[in-house]
Amino acid sequence: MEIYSAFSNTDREGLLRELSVTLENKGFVKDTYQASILQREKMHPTGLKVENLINIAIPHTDVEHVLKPTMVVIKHSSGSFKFFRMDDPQVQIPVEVVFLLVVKESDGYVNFLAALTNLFQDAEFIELLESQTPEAICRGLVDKLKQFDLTYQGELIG
Amino acid sequence: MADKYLIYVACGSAAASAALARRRLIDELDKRKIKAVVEVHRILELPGQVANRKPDVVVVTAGQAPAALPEDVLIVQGIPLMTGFGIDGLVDDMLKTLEERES
Repeated sequence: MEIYSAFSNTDREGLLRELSVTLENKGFVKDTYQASILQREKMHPTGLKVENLINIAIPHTDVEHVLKPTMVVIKHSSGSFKFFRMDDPQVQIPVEVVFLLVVKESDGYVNFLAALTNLFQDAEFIELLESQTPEAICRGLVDKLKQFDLTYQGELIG
Repeated sequence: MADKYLIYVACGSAAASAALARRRLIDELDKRKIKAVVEVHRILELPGQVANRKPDVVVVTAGQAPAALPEDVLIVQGIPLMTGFGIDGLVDDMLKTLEERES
């Protein structure tokens, strides 16, 4: 699976719009994706407070809007994004790293999401998340999740 | 042995987060030798599913469970099954509550 990095200085909605347009132009998602992911994030937000870790978000939407799976790792270029919490949708939290999960097929993807979240207990990976660029995080993922044959494709936006 | 519990795991799209929570929950129940059927549903579909076949537990990984669920269905906040932190406590508390309800 191809993965990308990005820096952005926009807000949550601006980020999701920008990523949607770029992913559509690259043939990863359908033209229905943008509306769907914005609506999904509004209805079921994906900000996660992870114990002893920076906050992350894992926006994703229904598989029917996706043509080809990918993932984009995004950091804010001058601060953090604001996402509402997955477990407490009224509460907004600052999010340092966004993993946009472009899911095509739910079964195989669960393996990937399980492996990704298992890395939240890996000190070396946490160090990457906290202090390194999205590119370094992507390269770390390629190295640590060899079983998924990830290939880093460069910056998507930013 | 017959399945002991029926558990629904629900998120917004039934695509990623609930499916992951389901897998981790099944692993934990297997470790404890607890038989259960664990199904993934969308939160929006929960009231209909629950009316059709009432589960023992609803684990929600996104937001709140719909208010319309029957009072005797145990509602569990499933974020630890997503993040990997606090899974043991979640499963132990859930099983303890279920056992207390049975006795």
